[in-house]
Amino acid sequence: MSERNQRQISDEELGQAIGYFRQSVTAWSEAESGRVRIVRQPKSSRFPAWLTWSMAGTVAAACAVWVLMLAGGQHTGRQQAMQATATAPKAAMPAATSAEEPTRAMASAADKRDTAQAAAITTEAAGTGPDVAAASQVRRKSGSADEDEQLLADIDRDIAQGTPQALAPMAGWMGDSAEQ
Amino acid sequence: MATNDAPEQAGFDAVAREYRPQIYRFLLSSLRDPEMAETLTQECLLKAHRNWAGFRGESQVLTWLLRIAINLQKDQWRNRRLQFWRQTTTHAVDVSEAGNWLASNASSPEQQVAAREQVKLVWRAVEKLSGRQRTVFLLRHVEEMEIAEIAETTGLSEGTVKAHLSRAMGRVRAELGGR
Repeated sequence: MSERNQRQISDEELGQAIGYFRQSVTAWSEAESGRVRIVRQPKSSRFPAWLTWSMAGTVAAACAVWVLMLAGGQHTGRQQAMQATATAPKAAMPAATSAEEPTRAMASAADKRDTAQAAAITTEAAGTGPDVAAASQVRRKSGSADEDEQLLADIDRDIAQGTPQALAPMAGWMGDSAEQ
Repeated sequence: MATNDAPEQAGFDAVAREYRPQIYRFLLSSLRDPEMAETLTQECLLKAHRNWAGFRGESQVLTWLLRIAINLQKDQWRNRRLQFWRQTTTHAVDVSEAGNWLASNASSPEQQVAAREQVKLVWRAVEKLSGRQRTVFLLRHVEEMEIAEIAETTGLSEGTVKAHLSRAMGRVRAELGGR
């Protein structure tokens, strides 16, 4: 082998080897050309090609629909959550209104009381109004504020004296003139 | 239309009969796969038949046919690389088996053994060549084409063909010398 490693191939030897190679290839080619070939059937699938493709397409479409449904559901859920978040303050506002309702009612009642009181004073001054005592009783029943009570107490005292406090100077003047 | 096609068809039949063995031999030596060589030979002739009307005879018929065969071979290799995930069964014959084929004109048994050994060594060298070097070497020494014809067939310049051929010969020489 070592001898062969150092051997220089002459052009003649090279030509001869290539000539043998050509003859070998030609002989092989002729032998293969004359050989009876068995035509191989392509591997047949259980399903025809069009059916396989249609099945694949159906599966792909089903997957796409499923993904879209999933995405749509998530989107709807998110939208509902956002709507709920947005409507929460609005829902809280009526609750706050109902919480403020007694105060408003009380204010309204106070206004009504003021109006009734003014009317009572007016009618009393005119001498044609309803019974002032009854009016003051209604006033007490309504549970008004301290100011109202004070006002009513003043009115009661004036009535008990027979002369309203507002008319006191005139009553005093009339009394003096009568003595004279 | 049929009257014009008939001579063309007859002409192509004669061409196919004449050049089919050479196309098959080139593809067999290049691929070492008898089945694939047969398939590509059929494809080559089919492609040639389709384009036969467009063949103007500017080059030789064999040159034109071998150019088609070389392109098909390139496509086949490209497809095999791309379809590595498929069950691409190759029936390439081993170098030692391919070297067993020998013409029966060798005189003595000793000469036949020596010739067979040389053929195997050449096959081994050819196996190690690049695609272009192998094509050029086979066209030159199996199909016995001239440099200009090889250049026309492969689409390479004559200088490039000579360079590829020189490297291929160097490889064969080295293989025969046992290096």
